[in-house]
Amino acid sequence: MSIRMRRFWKNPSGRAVLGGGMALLLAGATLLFLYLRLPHEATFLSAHPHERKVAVELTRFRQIRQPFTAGRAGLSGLSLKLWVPGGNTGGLRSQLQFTLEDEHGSPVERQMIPVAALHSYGTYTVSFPPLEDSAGRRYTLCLTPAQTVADEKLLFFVGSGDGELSFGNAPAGSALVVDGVYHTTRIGSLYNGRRPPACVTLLIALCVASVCWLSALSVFLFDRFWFLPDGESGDAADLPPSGKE
Amino acid sequence: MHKDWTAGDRCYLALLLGGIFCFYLSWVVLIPFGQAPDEILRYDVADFIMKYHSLPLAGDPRLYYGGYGQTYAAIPYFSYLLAGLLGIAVHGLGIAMPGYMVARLISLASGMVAVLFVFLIARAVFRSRATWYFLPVFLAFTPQFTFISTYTNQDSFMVMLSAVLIYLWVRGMRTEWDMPTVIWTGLVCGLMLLTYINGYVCILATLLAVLLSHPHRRSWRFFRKMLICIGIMLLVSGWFFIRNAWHYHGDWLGMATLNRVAEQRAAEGFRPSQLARSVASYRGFGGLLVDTDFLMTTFRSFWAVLGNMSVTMNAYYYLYLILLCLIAFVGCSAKLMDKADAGWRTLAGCKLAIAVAALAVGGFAVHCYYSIAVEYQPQGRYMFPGMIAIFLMMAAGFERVFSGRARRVFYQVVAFTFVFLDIWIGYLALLPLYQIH
Repeated sequence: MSIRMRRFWKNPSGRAVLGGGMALLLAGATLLFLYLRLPHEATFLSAHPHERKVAVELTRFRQIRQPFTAGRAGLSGLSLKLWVPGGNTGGLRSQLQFTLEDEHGSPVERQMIPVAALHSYGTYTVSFPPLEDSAGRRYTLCLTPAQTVADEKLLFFVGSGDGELSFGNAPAGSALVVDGVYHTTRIGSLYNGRRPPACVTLLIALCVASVCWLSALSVFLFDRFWFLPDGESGDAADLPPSGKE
Repeated sequence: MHKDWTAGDRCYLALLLGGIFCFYLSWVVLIPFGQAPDEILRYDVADFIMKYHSLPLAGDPRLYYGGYGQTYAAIPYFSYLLAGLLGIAVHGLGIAMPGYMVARLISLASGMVAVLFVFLIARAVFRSRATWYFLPVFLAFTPQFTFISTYTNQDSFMVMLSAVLIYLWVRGMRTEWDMPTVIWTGLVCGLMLLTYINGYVCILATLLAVLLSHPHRRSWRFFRKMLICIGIMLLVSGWFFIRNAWHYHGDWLGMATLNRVAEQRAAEGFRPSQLARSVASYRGFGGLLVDTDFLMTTFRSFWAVLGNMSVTMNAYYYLYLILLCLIAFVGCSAKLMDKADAGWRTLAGCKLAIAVAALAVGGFAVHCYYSIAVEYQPQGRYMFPGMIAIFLMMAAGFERVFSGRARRVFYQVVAFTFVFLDIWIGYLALLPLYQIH
């Protein structure tokens, strides 16, 4: 730090200006970093009362079909609650073919899902280019075993919900637990129905306030620890012994 | 003790307390209800008070018991009582706020008061102003402390009481335990009795601090002060234990009732009598430390294991913490050696240091005892009665290892990493986990 800079820093008004500027810069950089880490898509969780697990051996089924209605525009993925029993998925070799059909039965998207990529607990999201006019349209999710290995099983989560699930041609009497992922703005990804919009706005305001405030605290500590001469920063020799033990 | 307040001190406190208020409140809003250890069971006590305007009794069918048949209504629950009263006031004012968030505000306030008192202790104990500013930041941005300050629990309130008690020790040692300090000590110990059974180790440490530091231990004045202190403790907390003894057939602490109710209410296979005992309960203290992952899990969860013990940090983060602990350990050992060089008898003069060390060791001992005798629970928060003491010892170690500019650079690096890692954990780990995915 140059002598001129130090002098400017020691001047109270100079310190306030420079410190405030540094705090604003730090807060701005942190908030920008946090903003850029937000995704461009929002997963809207749908309610599935009476949720339960159904274990299916991959060699035993031909196709799973689940019709559903997209709630809004920009459908860009589907989040499937699909577990692999046993914990370790690394050695599994089976593959599923994922197909999304529109209301006329024409395929809109087709992908291969390696079973090894699924989780023992959690969800798997199939992403595809956003379907801009998806709002209110009917689609069908199809899962077909493409490559199967004996004894490899999957746990499908089913419950009451929109559209009836069918294994092959037989209706299962329930719906697959699947949530829509929609393309949106970065901030919009937080308004995904998990909590009331007012609560999300409060959360964003608190994040911004705390980052600004803590940036100011960091700059203050930087000032105390770095710029001030030893006496002012309170090293032992410079403090009166009375009142401190 | 409040002399020498500078504009810088006031500015620091305003920035620190304002910052942690916003930051902790954002976690309060962010963490979904129940995504913290036993929060549903803990909140149930506060919720009962909010709903029925009366204190719950274990066994009441209106309480929630979960699969294990557990309830927190039998053992002391002062912070839930405060949460219940705050909930009644908030709803009485017509503020539409979820009850669980109201209950979390008690933890938030406790966390803030604990940080404030750590600053006051640091002002009184350490001579370096850099340490005064460093220590509260070090505590406030320890992820586990941030976490306990943002969900319904008693740990946060208990840590606050332990900070106030240590501050009272310092004040008592300086004033030779004048009457206001004795009265405050009695009040805080009484609240501790009402709060958390693990926290009772703080009361024992307070007794040790008094015995070590009171100049006239065989005088009538000393006994009079002790009687006043114990009298205030009983006045503050006695009603709860009498009520327990009355309703639970002499079980004044409520522990036996807890097991009895769990035996009745737990699902088949989850009754206390049906649960398998841990390795630690067979092999004792040595087995606990050697044959289990007790030490490592305790260390990790003392610093940062969030959610229902499910959200862990990167291994490098724990390595960084191990490094800090090693530096502090070297510093504390060097301080001890300094005293040894000056003659071991000089150690007896370090009354505050002995009491603080006893509290830190006592917190760990209670944690071990619980895991051996009651239930294997290697969770760092069980040794939080000694948390403030451990942080004070670490700061003393840092002060010994570093001096002058090196100390201030060290403090700056650690404070900066703690603040920004805590922001990282909150907004880049918990926010995506609870709000996006």
